Amino acid sequence: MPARAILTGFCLAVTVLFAVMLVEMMIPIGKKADFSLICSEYLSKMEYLNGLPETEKQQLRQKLEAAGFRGIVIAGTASAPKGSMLTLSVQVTCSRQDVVGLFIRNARETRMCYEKSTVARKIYN
Amino acid sequence: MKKVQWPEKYIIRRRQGFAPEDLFPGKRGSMPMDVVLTGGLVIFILLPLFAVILEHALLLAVRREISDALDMSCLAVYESIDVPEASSGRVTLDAVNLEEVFRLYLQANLSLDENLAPLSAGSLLQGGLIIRELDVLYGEDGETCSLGNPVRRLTVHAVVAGSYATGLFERAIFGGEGIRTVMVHRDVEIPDDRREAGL
Repeated sequence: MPARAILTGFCLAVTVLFAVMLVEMMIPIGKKADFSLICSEYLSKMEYLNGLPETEKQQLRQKLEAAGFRGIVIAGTASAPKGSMLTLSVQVTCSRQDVVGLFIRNARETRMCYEKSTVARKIYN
Repeated sequence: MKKVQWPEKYIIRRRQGFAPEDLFPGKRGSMPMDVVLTGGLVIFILLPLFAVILEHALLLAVRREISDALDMSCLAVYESIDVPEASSGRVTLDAVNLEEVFRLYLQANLSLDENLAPLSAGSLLQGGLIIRELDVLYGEDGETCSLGNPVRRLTVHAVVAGSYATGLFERAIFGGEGIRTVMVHRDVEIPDDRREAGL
């Protein structure tokens, strides 16, 4: 009887572990969505400011840090003539605890990259 | 010593109601069966369930990426505004230049080559992108786009189809080539100060 209780407990633990592992597979997708959302907000700002001023760059960095990203590298067109292409390139590292084996959790780092281009707003009056 | 036979009403039954072992009296399952049932639960219920959820999350992520790129590409068509026409009060877009600009920004934002095929194996869109519709609507007299959305101002209407690789689970469980196509439609208004001021 004790053997059976131990086995049932083990099976239950394995099932829960699988469920946790599968749920954790969704986390990077959510993190990437958050990251893209923050970056696209600043790309829209770049579109009407005709570039990414230093103050906006610092704000973007703070926002990304607040969202839990580390190792932030931001490169964006600081200023561009109206009607020309603007590019925002952001790289971040996202670290999280992941199930890597049976009852083993390890820290894992994922590098995420955002690189998009838009046009500096040109207004015809 | 004589054994007392208690009347039925004084006997406390251990258990009331139905239990699985009632079907097979004296048989309470076995340890190998527990292992098989746990394996079955993981393989036939947990994995397919999460495969479906993961696929849906992946689809939403791809759709959002294409949608963002499409927004930026549609906005970028300012570049194709016909300047002499604009100076005389009419904002029109040069159709040939418009498509060039639109393609250029799609390429830049989705890592595509000039034929809108993926630049590298790690690209988001494994099967490339196809521009199904690209049109400029001036929003006159209750105009609607081809998909029925009302247009009130100068708007770029675009419909694209992108193919992406499905997750490993879907290929393993449901089979198939592992490529799925998603259609994205955007109607993006072009800022027009003159029109907004009613001039």
